[in-house]
Amino acid sequence: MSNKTSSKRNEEMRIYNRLPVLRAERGLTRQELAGSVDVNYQTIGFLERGDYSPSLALAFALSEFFGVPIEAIFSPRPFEPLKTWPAAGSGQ
Amino acid sequence: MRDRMRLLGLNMTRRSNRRWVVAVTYAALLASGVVLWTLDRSEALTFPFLLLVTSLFVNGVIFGGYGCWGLIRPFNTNKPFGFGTPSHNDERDLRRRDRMHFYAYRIVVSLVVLGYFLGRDSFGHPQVGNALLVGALILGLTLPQALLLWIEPDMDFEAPATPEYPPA
Repeated sequence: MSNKTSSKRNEEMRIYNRLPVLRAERGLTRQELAGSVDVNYQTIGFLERGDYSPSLALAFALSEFFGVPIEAIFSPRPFEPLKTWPAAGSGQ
Repeated sequence: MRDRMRLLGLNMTRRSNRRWVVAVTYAALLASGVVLWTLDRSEALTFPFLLLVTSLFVNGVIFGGYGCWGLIRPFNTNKPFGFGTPSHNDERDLRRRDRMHFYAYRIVVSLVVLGYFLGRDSFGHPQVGNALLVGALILGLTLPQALLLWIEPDMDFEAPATPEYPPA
């Protein structure tokens, strides 16, 4: 068992997510979000911290809960800030 | 892991604290083993039996996993041993549980093989062989939980308002 190997693999396969932003927008605690998608609140914490990549089933459950596509929540590349989006600042 | 990560009033969300608990527990188990072995060198089963009981106590009260209390939720997905406590392991818990059992399995099997060969007459160390086999038994019961407590990262997330289980 090697923590170094494991962390290297995690780094290679890292999935970025917008869970903290989406959760804060809706004023939810980790416990409330966890209850909605039937996981433990620690799992939500690990997801937000990038320590855990969700299964497809959990990703779909989160997508359904927030009402946004999966790729709006998870991405293999870091998300760009919203202010860099073309529509930002135009009031749309 | 439990929602409320506390043991004797100590905060066990910190990995460093959990590692101390694991180290102290195994040091106590090792010391008990040495004392019992010194006191009882006969072929009687008192020594392994007492260590077995101690390991079950460790599981039930400190580590959890195969008991109703302790830091880790019962590993099974049903109610443990007839007690009316809920058990909810999500996908991450189950994945970690299975991985830790995989790691522990290899260590335990290695100890069993080593103990078996060292215990044979041709090697002339039956006591060492027996001790290794008892050690494998103890580790078989406790190592997956210990690895889980040792490896899981810090969990400084807000705890739920209500305890997961009512106090015993």
